[in-house]
Amino acid sequence: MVDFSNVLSSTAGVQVQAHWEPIADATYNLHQPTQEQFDRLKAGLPEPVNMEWEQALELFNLKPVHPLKNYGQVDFQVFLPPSTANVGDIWELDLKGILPFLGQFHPGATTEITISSHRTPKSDGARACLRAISPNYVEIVFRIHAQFVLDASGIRLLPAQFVGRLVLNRKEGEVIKFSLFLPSRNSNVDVNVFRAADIAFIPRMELSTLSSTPVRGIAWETAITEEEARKKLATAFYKFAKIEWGPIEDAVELAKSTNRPIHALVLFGALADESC
Amino acid sequence: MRAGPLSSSKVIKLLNAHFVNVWVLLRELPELQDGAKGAAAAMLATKLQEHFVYPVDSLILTPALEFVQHLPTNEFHKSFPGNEKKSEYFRWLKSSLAQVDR
Repeated sequence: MVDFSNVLSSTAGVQVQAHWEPIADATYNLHQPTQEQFDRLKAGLPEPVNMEWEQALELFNLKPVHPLKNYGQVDFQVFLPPSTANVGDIWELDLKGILPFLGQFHPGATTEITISSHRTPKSDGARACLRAISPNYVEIVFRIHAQFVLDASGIRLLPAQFVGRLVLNRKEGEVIKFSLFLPSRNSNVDVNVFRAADIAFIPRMELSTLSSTPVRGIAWETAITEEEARKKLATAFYKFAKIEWGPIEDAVELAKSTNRPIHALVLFGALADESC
Repeated sequence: MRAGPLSSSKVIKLLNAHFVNVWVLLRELPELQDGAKGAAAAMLATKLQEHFVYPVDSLILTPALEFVQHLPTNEFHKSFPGNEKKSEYFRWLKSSLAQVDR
């Protein structure tokens, strides 16, 4: 068990860099509408919207509002459990506390998800899991569901999820590694333009510390694998994650060896996160 | 689906005990059919593509990849009110098992 009170005692600052690549692929290209397409979508709204086509295109010229930002150690307190925790424990994160990190991408960041068309109720929020401890270090992994309001008239991005990792040096009382990123798999962001929806792909959307402290060589005393921790987090968000989903490349062989039928879901957006 | 039938404890238990469960993105089916993840996955993807109904579909196949039945989600949602979806999906899975055992 680790006591997390006063664990971030250092006064050293932490520099975090942000990367945000443009949308590389989409089903309907709603992020690059033709003028005719945009006018049609706008005309379909019940209330008039004061936006020109060129302004809409500019909204999707996405890049981090703060490519580099300085944080204090105390800012990372939001990722820690309220008091003590054991390896494998899950806790909820304070949503107000994580907004400054998401705001490094865009001022429209919010944890209040308003895209409702494909959403599961009660999957808002952010949670973390204590993955590993050693006498000198701890590693926390986390998952955040958030949305970016590009324009209040109804232009929004809903990333599938943000996953992240925080490694602390307990002796020095400081963050040595922090990352928060959108998993780079196809169809990882839901794009909403007025009332139309699209599924798109952003190759890289990431925050990471500039520090080059190596963390691979840490001899963990107690740990679960990252996969186990991610599964625990997924299950905390979604009950359906308790279903034993396997990779498609193994399905046929497993079905033959266990003599079980295959139950397959084919979807427009990913099942296991918010882009569906 | 994930908030409804797939979050039912009875459905989860049945799926884990009696089925091999996979989900796949529609847009990935063509590359899977081309062999991106091997020959077996290609055959499975081809069968799924053959019977899939847009935009979301649940499909059951035998271990020999014979198509058993499917449940297109839009149709399913129109046919059953919210409180019946979980029990109906459970019934549909049981009927799939019965057909496979025949």
